Amino acid sequence: MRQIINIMKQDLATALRDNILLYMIIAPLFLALVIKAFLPSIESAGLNLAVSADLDSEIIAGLNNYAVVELLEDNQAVTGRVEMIDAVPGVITENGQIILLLEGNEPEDIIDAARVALTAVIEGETIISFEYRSLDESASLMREIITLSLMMLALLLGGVVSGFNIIDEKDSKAVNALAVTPLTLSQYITARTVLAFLITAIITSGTATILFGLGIDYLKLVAVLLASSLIIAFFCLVVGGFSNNQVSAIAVIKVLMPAYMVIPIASLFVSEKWQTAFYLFPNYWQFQMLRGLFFGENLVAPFWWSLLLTLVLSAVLLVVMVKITGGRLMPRGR
Amino acid sequence: MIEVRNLSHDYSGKGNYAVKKISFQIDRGEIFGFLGPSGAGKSTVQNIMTGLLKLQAGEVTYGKVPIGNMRKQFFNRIGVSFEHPNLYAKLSGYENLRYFAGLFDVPTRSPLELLDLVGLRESAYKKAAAYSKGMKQRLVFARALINDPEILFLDEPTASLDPVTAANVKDIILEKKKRGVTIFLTTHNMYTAEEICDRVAFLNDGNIVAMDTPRDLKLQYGEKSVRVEYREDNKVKTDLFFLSRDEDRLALQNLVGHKEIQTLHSQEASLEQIFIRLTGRGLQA
Amino acid sequence: MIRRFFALFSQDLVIASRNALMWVLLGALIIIILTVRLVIPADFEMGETQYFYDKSAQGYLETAARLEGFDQERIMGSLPELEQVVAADQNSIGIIFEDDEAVPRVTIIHHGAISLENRNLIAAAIEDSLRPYYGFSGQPDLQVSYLRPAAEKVPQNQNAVPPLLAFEVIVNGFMMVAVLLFQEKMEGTIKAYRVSPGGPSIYVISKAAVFALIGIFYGLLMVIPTIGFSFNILLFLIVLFFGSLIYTWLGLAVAAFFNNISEWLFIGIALLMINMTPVISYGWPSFAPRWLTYIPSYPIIFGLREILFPSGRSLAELFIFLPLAALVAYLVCYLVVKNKLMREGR
Repeated sequence: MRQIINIMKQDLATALRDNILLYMIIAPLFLALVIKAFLPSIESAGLNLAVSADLDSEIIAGLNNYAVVELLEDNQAVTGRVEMIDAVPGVITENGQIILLLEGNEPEDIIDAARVALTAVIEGETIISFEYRSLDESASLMREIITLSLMMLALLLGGVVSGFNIIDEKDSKAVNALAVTPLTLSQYITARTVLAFLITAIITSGTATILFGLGIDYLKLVAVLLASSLIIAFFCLVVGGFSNNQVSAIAVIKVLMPAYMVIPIASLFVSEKWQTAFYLFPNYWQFQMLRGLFFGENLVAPFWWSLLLTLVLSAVLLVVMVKITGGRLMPRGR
Repeated sequence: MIEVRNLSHDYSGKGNYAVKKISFQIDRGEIFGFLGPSGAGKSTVQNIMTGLLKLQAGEVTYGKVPIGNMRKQFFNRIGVSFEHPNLYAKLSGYENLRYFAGLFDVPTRSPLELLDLVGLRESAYKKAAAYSKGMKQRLVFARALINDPEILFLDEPTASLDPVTAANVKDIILEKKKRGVTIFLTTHNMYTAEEICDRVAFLNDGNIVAMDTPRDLKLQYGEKSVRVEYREDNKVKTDLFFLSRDEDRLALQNLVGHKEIQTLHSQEASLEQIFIRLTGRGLQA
Repeated sequence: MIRRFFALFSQDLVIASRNALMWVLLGALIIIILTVRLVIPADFEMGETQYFYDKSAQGYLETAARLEGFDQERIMGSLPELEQVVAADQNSIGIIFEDDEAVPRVTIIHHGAISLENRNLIAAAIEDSLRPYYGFSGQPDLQVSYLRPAAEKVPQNQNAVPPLLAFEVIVNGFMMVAVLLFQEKMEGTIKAYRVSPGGPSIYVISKAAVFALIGIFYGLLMVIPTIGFSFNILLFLIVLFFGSLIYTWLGLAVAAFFNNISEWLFIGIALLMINMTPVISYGWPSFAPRWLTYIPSYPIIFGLREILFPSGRSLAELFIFLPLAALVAYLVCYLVVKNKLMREGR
């Protein structure tokens, strides 16, 4: 135990130098703040229209009910705006005729939306009454993808940074000095992964609080962290075990990170019958756990089932990884 | 007693042995030197003896206990100083020693005391990255002493050190010997070997070509020689003549008779010369 | 000077090609090609899925839905069935139509919250489809005008290629050059270069040339199997070339301030992510705030799309922007390398 704590203290002292620990914690929290600030405008992004001030004021007022209207001085200004890279249709008037101005490469849904909005405004009266009923408090798909991706990234960071510590030691051969002490391989791995877990816990709690507010179920968040601990350890071993230097570590991370993030996100776009293809991935269940925690229960599996599956599957992966990388972490001929 | 019997090691697995069936033993409290050029296999032997490399063939025993059976207790008893400084660059000298000390189950020495011993007290709180090569080497040496080991493995302990500091390190090594510490020392510096080793083994291409006390090696293999510097074609050249050989005595006579002699020195055979004689190559090769 | 450049360029190319990251990039390339060709459907839709339940006797909504091409599986037979299918699909809405005593009513069931504008748009779209059934067949006095002929619809799987190109080819230069620089620092070879006649200019140009070459090669390998040859290869190569130059120089300028990858990691990844944000605008074109359009990868991604899937838009602005941005990136990089990298320790 003493040796484990000793290694952790040493790692912490190293990380505090050059402010690495600070970056580690601040960067994801800062990202969370940025996402929180921009997400509402991304989510509510619907139709944007460039509208000529020459139009009838009632038309302009009416269009404001359907789109974000950018009022421009005249038809020429609107034409210039429509020609810009983004997909913003224009509304101009020529000899009393209202014209929907399109560049020609707008997505079909934007063209349709612009047309129906303008039609509705011109028609004036409506014949159908509308009611809106929300099934749940759940968020848009985009909100889920962006926020949960950041959460998964936060869960990953501690393991990656601990992996880099292992590589630093291999690079400088300091690990050889550790290998000729009473420190055992399991103590070494434990120290590295416990520290990774603690760092991850700080980053994840901070990120979750920023993104979702203080009303989250912190007990479940702790459960998520504990269930993710084996995945964190897995990352630490993969990065530290398969790389002999920082350069090859980047290569390993470039393979690992997309696989870790993309698999669960891809499952959101796949029909129910194909979900089984993802069942063997612990990060898929980790993602379901996070969905359950932050966006309410979902139909794939209840929160505690997702937690159990995350634990079990990641334990299997970890055991395999320890067997493969154990010899690569510390030179141990005995 | 440390016993090594028929030790062999093949890195590639294709029959290219870095070390071939070498055997030796080291008594308690002895300073045993492994002398040889780079690539001779010295570090390989040390790495096997310290458990950094897996034992492929042969035996290594510590007081009759094979290295394969060694547990944590073994590592509490040894100290290892590496040839290439392997420190935590972002930690200070003091911190490097303090954290390392925390890995042992036995009482450890004060880091400041050890830093004082190797002349690094004033740089104790500087980051190791800022240390010079010699300072790093001293720190690595100090680290090897942190747990007051019974057995010390020193790989080129005086490399990169100026003569004064090197002398200090040698004094420390001799002091350890007086206290009964067994020391396995690898070096290609024959002066260090001569000065402090009780016995040396010459290692070349993975084989021990000779093993004895430095004095007995000189008696057995050494020859008196004369080193002559002379001028030829406006350049100063050097030649070495072994007086026991007829052809060398004739050549010396001829040289003295016909060339402009600059200096003439007789000398006792050095370990390096003995090594050259036995292996055909120098220790620095 | 030319000889020195080619000597350094060849060395940098060999070192880059022996880097493990190269193999990862190659692996990623194969995965991208396979994903675009085999996994992403050509008609994949990111927008919301609509499900219908027509409670009315007349069945106008069902008729309108079929006329607009919706499959039978989108048309539900009961309210619980509709609610169940909408509940299961996070990205869907349900439309319930009732018409008692000629008073048409629509209930929209959805997830989360919908903005007022988007609610009105949904209502307008439904009303637009149903108006003909209530005797409103007249077309409003609205003309649609195109600045250019309507572009051919791009299959969604191929549509993914421009952003992938931008990030795998261009932004990777940002990361790869940092990796190579740190390798040089670690090995001490940068010190050896400092005491050679090389100089910062050749150093900087050589690095960028290596990644421009790799970028072009990689870009062609990605595009030809996924899109074919039906695009202006010269313009394509020019964009890749300048894009790689810009990001390699920016990457080198940033990396020069750090000693190793650990120190660089968070800033580097943060900058990379910032440069990836134009993808949001690519996927959701309505989201294009002014600050986003200033990120260099923004015009590059959309420029690549225009080259690969021409719609007649002018690329003049892009081809003015690229060399200017490359020049600025070069100057910044040169100054940083000269004053920081080549003078470290002095």
